[in-house]
Amino acid sequence: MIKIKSIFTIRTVFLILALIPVLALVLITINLVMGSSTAIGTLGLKLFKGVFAPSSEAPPVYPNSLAYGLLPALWGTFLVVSISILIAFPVSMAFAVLSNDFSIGWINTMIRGIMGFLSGIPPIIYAVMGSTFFLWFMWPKFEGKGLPLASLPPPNMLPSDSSCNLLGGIMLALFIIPFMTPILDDAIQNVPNTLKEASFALGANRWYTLMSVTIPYALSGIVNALILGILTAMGEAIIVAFAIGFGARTLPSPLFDLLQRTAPLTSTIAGLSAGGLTGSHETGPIGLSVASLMGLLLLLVAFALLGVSMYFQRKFKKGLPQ
Amino acid sequence: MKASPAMKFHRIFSEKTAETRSNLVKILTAGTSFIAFISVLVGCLTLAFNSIETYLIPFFYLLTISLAILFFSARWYHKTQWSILILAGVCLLSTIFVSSLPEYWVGLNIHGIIHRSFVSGLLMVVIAAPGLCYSIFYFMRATPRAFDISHFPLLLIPTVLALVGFTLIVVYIVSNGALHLNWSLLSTPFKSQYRIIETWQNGWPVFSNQEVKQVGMLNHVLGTFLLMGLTTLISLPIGVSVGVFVKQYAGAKLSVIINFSTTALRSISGIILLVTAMSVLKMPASGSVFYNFFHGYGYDINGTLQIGRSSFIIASVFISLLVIPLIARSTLEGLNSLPKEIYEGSLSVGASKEHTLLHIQLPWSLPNIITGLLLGCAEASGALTIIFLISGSGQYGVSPLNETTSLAYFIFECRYGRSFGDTLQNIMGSYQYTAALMLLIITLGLTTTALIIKRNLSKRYKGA
Repeated sequence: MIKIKSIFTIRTVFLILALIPVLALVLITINLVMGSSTAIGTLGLKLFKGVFAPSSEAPPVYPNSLAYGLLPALWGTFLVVSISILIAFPVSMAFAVLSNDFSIGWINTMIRGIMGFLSGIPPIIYAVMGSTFFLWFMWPKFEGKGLPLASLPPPNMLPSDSSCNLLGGIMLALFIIPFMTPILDDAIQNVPNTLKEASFALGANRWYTLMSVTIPYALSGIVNALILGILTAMGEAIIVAFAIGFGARTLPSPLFDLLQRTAPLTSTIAGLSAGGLTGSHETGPIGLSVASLMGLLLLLVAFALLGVSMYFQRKFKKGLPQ
Repeated sequence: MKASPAMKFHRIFSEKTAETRSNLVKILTAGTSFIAFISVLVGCLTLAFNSIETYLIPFFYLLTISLAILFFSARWYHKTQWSILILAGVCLLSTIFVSSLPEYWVGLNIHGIIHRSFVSGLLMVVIAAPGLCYSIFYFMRATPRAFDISHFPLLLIPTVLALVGFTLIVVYIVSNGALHLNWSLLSTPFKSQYRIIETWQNGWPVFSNQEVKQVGMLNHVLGTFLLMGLTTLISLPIGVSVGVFVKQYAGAKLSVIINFSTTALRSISGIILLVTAMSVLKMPASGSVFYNFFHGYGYDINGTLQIGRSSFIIASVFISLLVIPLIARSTLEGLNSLPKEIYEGSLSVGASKEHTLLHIQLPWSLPNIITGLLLGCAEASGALTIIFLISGSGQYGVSPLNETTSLAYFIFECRYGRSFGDTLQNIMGSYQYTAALMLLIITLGLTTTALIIKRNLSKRYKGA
């Protein structure tokens, strides 16, 4: 016989409350899987086409003419995330190194304060500033300002609407830097001083110690920061929606063209679930289902990367002396 | 043996030359580092502005010559660093390349054209930064300490560029937002409705519309605070209990599962939560009470029921999924920072585990929890990804059952309002930077307070 009093302990209350995030995650996954079943059933292999053109799917539905290829959005995600990580990772690494081993005087306190201050800036601010940055830096560099009309390329070749992939990558990089720097800072700070001092005692200078002692020891933390940065860049919707747009029709014609607009998965989902922000379309059930499928892809990538990060942390904890 | 005058003279002469040569090397390397520094500066300016790239070509020549000189001055320290010579060669090649560029580089197979200032500025920075490192190294006599110091430019150039970017953002928002900021804007709610007026003419009722317009953002500011409050109410108990359960009660497997799910909730995209929220909003049947509760309702000036897209409660439930991991992590940090002797002392004088938890552990970790909560509130006030498709203009009031609105959504609607068919953009479009400034003040105030609490935490007793 179970005593009723023993069930309602403080432990049970904590257990129930602590299981809510797990439950939420499971429900989100189930919802996305259920939602994406329509798209997989209707479209099947046509999801891997290179054309993405959401239609209204007004009756009668012609499944053969539906073009919901995922490839443009996937390629856009890859491009934007790689630009932003390529910019943000070295910069935040430099910040983290400056605030630990290479600190002079009060530089470390100042960098930590500034990064804590900047991490509060919400993404909408970067999104609003995107078009201003385009006007200041991108437009004079990549568009024919002061060029005679005859020598201009055709107008559809120029970046317009103050949006391009490069701009999205740069704004995302600015957004990620205050996010990644504290994690990298923690990882480098947690390296035991005894290891560094042993290296100094053997005659190594600071740069050599950093390269051959500190960074290899902090590698698991650095990989963790990198993965969290990739996930944040991949999941950010507002900045890329403002800086790139709500949907890409096709793959860019030279694949690595950064001055074109290839909207990533997140803003494509936003455009689809808003019913087509361009105003010319209304997306039907298949469009919403494709949005769920894209969300499921994002979720699976996030799970895989988090698993890799956890594996790295566990492996390095076992392998190195504490 | 007496030295002959000739030998004496020879010795003095060779010593003198050694000294002068070492002085010469110092001056040359100092000059090289100065030129490299100026080149980096000019390269960065060229990346920012368009009209100064013609002045860059003399700097390229100077840099080539000084790098070549640096190669020969490095010989004084008995080092033959071929990479400097290679760098000088690259610099010479790029000088020829840059000086032969037309103003616009047309005909590339990309969607756009490239101005030559971009190419030349990039080349300048890429060549001058290692040049600066090498010249500082040889200026400081090529010692191991000089090797450390010579790497500072590699660390300082990217950080300074990033800080300039952040400064530009903050200064632009503040200078544009402060133009329109006044008290009446903050104390008036936004309204754009039509009041139906009934007048009697010749014994018949005649209805006419009167437009009611109010410029202001009181409801958006209040909505931001309401979102923060509701998010706190939902996420604080859950987040704290996640932290306590993982630290105190959970076994190895359960703690791994809970840790993974909280981390995953933090790092999955907000847009996934948006998709889930939209499918939750579709659940209740239209017209039922739950439909009104879920979608948020309010009454306009004629007393007509207006049903929105989502209520504050639903929005804050989904935002709190983002905030729970923050609070859980900071609670765990606080519990882990409790010195073992205090915990064991409490147990040894006869307190039960629950009593210790409520009276020792949680009060100890209270500052940590508050820090996490403040960061979470900053997150909630700026969280737009979750609510930007399910919130409205906020003119029907602000209460937990009204339609969601916040400052972040205000800024979004000022840009994309027209595609939703809203009037907010037409009336309030010029106030978007003011709203951005208000949002910045709220979030930065919260994060700064969290920072101050965190700094004070490092001063307390940490155990033996």
